[in-house]
Amino acid sequence: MKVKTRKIYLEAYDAYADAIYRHCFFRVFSKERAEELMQETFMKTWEYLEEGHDVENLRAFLYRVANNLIIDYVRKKKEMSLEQMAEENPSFEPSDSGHEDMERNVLMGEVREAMDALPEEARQLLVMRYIDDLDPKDIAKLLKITPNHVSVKLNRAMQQLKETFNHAG
Amino acid sequence: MPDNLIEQLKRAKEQVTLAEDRKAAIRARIVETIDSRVRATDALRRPVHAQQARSFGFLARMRVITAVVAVVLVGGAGVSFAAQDALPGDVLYPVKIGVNENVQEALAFSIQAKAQVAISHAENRLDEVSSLSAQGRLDAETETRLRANFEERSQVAEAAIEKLHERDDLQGAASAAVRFEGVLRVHHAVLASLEEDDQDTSGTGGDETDLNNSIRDRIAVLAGLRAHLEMDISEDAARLHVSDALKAAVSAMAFLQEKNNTGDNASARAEVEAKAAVQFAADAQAALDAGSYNTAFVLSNKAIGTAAEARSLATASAHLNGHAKRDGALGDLFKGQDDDEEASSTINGSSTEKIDMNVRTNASSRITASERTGTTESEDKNDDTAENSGRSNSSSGSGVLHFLGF
Repeated sequence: MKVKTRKIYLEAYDAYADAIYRHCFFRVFSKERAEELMQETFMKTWEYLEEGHDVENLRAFLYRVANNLIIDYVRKKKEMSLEQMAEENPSFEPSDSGHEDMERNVLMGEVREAMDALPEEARQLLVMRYIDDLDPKDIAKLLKITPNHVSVKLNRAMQQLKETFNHAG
Repeated sequence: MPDNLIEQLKRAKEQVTLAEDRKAAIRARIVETIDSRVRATDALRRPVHAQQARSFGFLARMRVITAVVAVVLVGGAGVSFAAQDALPGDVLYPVKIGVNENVQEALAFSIQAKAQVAISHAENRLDEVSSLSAQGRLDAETETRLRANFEERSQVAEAAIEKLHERDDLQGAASAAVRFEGVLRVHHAVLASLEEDDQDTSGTGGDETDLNNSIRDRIAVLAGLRAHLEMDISEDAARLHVSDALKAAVSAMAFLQEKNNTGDNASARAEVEAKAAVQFAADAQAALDAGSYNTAFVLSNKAIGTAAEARSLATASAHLNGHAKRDGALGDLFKGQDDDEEASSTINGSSTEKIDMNVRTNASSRITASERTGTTESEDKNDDTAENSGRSNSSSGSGVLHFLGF
């Protein structure tokens, strides 16, 4: 059982590590933190499987774990001093640091600025929908709300994003 | 939907990729960690699937019993014992959950034993939440998992209590219900105090957590059930209950002696509670001898509930001992409350609580002054009905809850 679980688990890592990393990145806008959160997500998931629990949908479970870890991280970040925060969350780090493209960095900077201004819930929904490409039904299952509720919240989040984009622009 | 915004998000998304070498490095680190955990537990762990163990089928039991023998034979009993105090994230935690608790569950044959084991596991989850919180190691994910397991274990305990009730085993149902209630009351107070500490530290105000709300709701349901069970008691049920109360009280005293007294307020309070439990049990015996069966039953509930609280307090004190936030959690919990008993019961408001407080105070004072200031022991059958009409809706089964502000 352990061998099979380990195999399924590692296959899940190969399949979803990138997506979970990206999800984390667009929630915290730090490459280093996103890697840590992704690793922690997989470790927590292993601990859960190791305790003998069955997970029906590993992908959804990973998103749920990542989401909880991010909320925890954001909560702790709020309690940090300004100095700690500067150390914790350096200015934007592009993934392709070897080939910085100014135009791309400007775009990413704007996205970050706009997303940073959003409430955590709005950011979570936008990342799930437009970065993770989850449909409202999947999001509804993850957040344990109805698909209609997801659509309403997404619309509101999109409006907020539009306002912050315009404001930033 | 503003398409250009979505377009911008998607373009931003394309820029963010996890480099292959980073992905491989993290994978290697994860594999190394999980394999070392597997090696640490494999020597001890038999393939006891949680679902099989929970089915309580004969084969599942046999597998678990074989696992126990195997664990002892490979010299793992010490490790299994050491795993009892493991917390989520510790190497031995899977042994605690996957071996120890599955074994306890599979070896619980009677409904009452099943209730007791489920209560004990629910308490373990609450202990883990408090300990991790006091150590600053409780993250949202772990909290969610522990809460889910607590809810699941609590439901098993409640279902077993319900089954006892359905089978007219009123004594068994009451015994399990007051034990569970006692455990929950202590942990509700500990968690509330830890939350207060957090709010003091972060400067934020806050509501109770979902977990503590759930505990409070369960306490209310159990209190209602207990009150219901206390209404109509046969002589046989009263005799059994008194016997159970005496065992619970003596066992709590022995448990406290086994635990190293940490010399703090919580340990001292646990000792007072255990002594009060003994006194309640003695009072229950006296009431039984006098033919006051309902009073004997109510006092037995108090003895069993107070004994459970004493044990929970001693355990929580031992687990939180030595951690920075511990003094805030258990120290403050009892600070000054000896002086404020009457005031606190008045603030809490209800007259029924005051009645309880009097019973509790009487029991304590008898312990220290060897005086009989209470009325219970002199009650006769005629007083029985009046006694219960005053207490059946309140009889908390515990003194400590008043100290805790319930």
